[in-house]
Amino acid sequence: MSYMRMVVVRLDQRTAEVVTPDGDLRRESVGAALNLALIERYGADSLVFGGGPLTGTFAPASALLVGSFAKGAAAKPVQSAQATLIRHVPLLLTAGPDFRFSGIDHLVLLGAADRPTLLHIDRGRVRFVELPKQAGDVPSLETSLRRSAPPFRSAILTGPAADAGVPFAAAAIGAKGSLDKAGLAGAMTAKNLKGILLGGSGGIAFAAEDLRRSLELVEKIKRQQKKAGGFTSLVEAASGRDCLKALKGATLRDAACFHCPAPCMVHAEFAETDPRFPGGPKKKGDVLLLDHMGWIALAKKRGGQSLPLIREALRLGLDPSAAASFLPREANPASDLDALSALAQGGPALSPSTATASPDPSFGGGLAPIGTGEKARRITALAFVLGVCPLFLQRFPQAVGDLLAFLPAGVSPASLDRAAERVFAQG
Amino acid sequence: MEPANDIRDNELGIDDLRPRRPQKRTLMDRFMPRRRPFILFDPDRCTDCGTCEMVCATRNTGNIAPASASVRVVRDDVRGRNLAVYCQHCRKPLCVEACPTRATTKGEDGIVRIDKLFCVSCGLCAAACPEAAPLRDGRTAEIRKCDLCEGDPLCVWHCPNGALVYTKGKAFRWIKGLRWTVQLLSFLLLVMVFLGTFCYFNAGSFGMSCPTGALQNIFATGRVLLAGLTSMLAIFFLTVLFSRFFCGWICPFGFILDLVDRIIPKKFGLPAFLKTRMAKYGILGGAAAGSAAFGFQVFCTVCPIGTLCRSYGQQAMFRGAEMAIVPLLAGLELTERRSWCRYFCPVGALLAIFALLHLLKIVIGAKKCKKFSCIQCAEVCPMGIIDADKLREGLSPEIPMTECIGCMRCLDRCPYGAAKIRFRWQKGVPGEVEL
Repeated sequence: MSYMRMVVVRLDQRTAEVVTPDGDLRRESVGAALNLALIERYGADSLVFGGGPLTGTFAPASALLVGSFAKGAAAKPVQSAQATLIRHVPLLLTAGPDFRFSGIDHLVLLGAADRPTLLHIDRGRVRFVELPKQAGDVPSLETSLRRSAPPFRSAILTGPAADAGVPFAAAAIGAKGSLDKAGLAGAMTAKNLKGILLGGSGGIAFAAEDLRRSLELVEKIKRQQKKAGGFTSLVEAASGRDCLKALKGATLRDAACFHCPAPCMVHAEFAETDPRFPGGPKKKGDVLLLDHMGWIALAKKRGGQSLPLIREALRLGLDPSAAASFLPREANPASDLDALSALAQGGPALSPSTATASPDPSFGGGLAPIGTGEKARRITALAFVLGVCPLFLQRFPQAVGDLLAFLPAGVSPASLDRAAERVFAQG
Repeated sequence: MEPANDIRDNELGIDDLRPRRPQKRTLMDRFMPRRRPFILFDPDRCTDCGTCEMVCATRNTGNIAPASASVRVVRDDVRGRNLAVYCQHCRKPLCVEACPTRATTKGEDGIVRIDKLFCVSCGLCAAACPEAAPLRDGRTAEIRKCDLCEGDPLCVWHCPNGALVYTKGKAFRWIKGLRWTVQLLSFLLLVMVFLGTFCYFNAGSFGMSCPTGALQNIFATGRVLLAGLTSMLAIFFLTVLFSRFFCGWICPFGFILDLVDRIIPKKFGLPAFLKTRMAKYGILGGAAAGSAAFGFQVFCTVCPIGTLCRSYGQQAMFRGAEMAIVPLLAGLELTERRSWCRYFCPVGALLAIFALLHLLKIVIGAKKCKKFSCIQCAEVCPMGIIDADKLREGLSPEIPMTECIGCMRCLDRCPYGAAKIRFRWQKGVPGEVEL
């Protein structure tokens, strides 16, 4: 199985170069640790995306793509007391697998483009794509790209908030949002990079035994899933039942990332009225709740009115946790939407005291606090190295041994330990 | 024979490239249609994890390459659910008709396959398919289509949430069995055992009669008979409770029409003005007016139900021209299913008026119904009141209960449980959020 297909893109020169990793990189680094090594090699200006050796394989929850950058790479760094040098932002859903199916395992972005630009990756090639004339919010951008850009399966996009240089902007996977609370959107905007489109038309090889192993492991995990719980259990564990009451009246449907047997997200379908016409007709709205912390922050502040607000935050490319901090004290649906709009345009004065401190900025800051302390951080570091969802690994830590069976030839468990240790120590 | 002729025999001519004519249904197919293997998809269970695409691609290409899979899960924002796009192995596959090289075939096992040897990847099958199920490989541009892994689909095995279920269809449809039994018993009782009782029945002081006959009698005589009133009330309550249950389950002529429908093919069309279904009300009005004018129940002389009920037994057998009415009107089945009931029957018209007060209704939830190409409910509905176009658009059709004969074929046939019986005042349809 091939791994470590690397491409270095110089955005200022609009060139892309396939790089063969040398012996040191090959021997010691995988996943987020390789991102770290690449940042060290190409400088703090670089923005690196990379999947792990298990990303896109038959290993359950093999959905992780890690975006890594140095703190100074963002145009306006995130205002958090816990900021550290390197940040690894987890990108889940289908971003990781499609990244690898596009023929690249690691992507290094250097320099800054002279105008807002998009990259299209497929079959190991990188193309520069023109930004549609009317980009607008994140869903509109994705829709217009589906029409004008070459075919793609997934996209990592930034929204109007990032364009306005708002420090609370968050990168989104398609229009579904992400767990970016550490400034990946800012780092992309600093490079004038509006998004990365992943064609995903290729594939990766697998061992003959992987299908059977996957089936057995999925069965095992499903037996434990009831105990581990899904979205509601995670939210309840983090904040009590109050935040779940805010979901009353909505129809919830489980959602999962690529090849994950234990869904921890939900699609919420809800009825809403236009806040400008409170007595108007009801219409249906729906939103994917993948950001547990973002939902908790909004639900604590606005209760039952939070669903349209989180959708609006995602539409504008804002981090919902930070958006919650900027809502007016008095609940008013119309003025709440106006406040989010103003925030996305960089309107209100931003003060560090009003911002939500990310629980763990070195790992993107968006992970639900399932476990805390050193052990949980070590598991997260291992997940970032393997390319497996860190939430999954925290919920099912006993699956680590089984997951190692899916490792491609050439990646030894010992090198994984070293790599995880590096990521952990850096964090 | 010379070698040149041999070569010519193996050449493809223009006739070979034309779409083939649809196969004729045999009599056996009409009474006992073959069970169709297919995969059921439950969007409520689907978490969009993409495992189905992943494992499908491993069979197609030997790699994990979802872009090369024969199944695709897409988020349908209009219907608000995930939608799995894959071949339904239709009973009458349009892709087979559309294929110019005859690469697409439906096997004896019911599985529709593409023969790679003959496929030229023109994509006409995908254009013809209402599901767009033949998918173009993102890498090789080949057309790929689910072949159910030859009867053991990998995606079903690997779906972690049980959203995919492999089925060969319902082995026994209990509503169908029950309805045919009731219809047969009703026919035997009304036509062969209690002769003529549908038109008029009297047991001591209790009497019942056909409601349309009773209505005509009122107009003919100017008097209201107790028997007519009782029967009208009985039919009224039956209809209010179960809609036109009589037409679907009890009517002996309806039973004859259901039998005839299975034998004779549909050859002709009916004029467009009939489609409003108002003609039967005109006939009912005409019958009432005629009865008032002539002083006897004029429609009863040609009523196919009455004719059937009076046509058997020593006194009634072969009563001249009356016997010609049943086959004559049954011949209307050459046009549409139950066309007599749809457009002409005044008994049905009276029941339709009663059914305005229906307590129960049938609802079909387009969101629960997963497949654009399925529309089996619309196909089996004998009254043709389920809007297949709306279902294809992903919208829940509104079913006019005045026209519904309560046969429940739609409930019986739907593999997704999207057709349900609800009370009239219940809002919402299966699979949709009630606003």
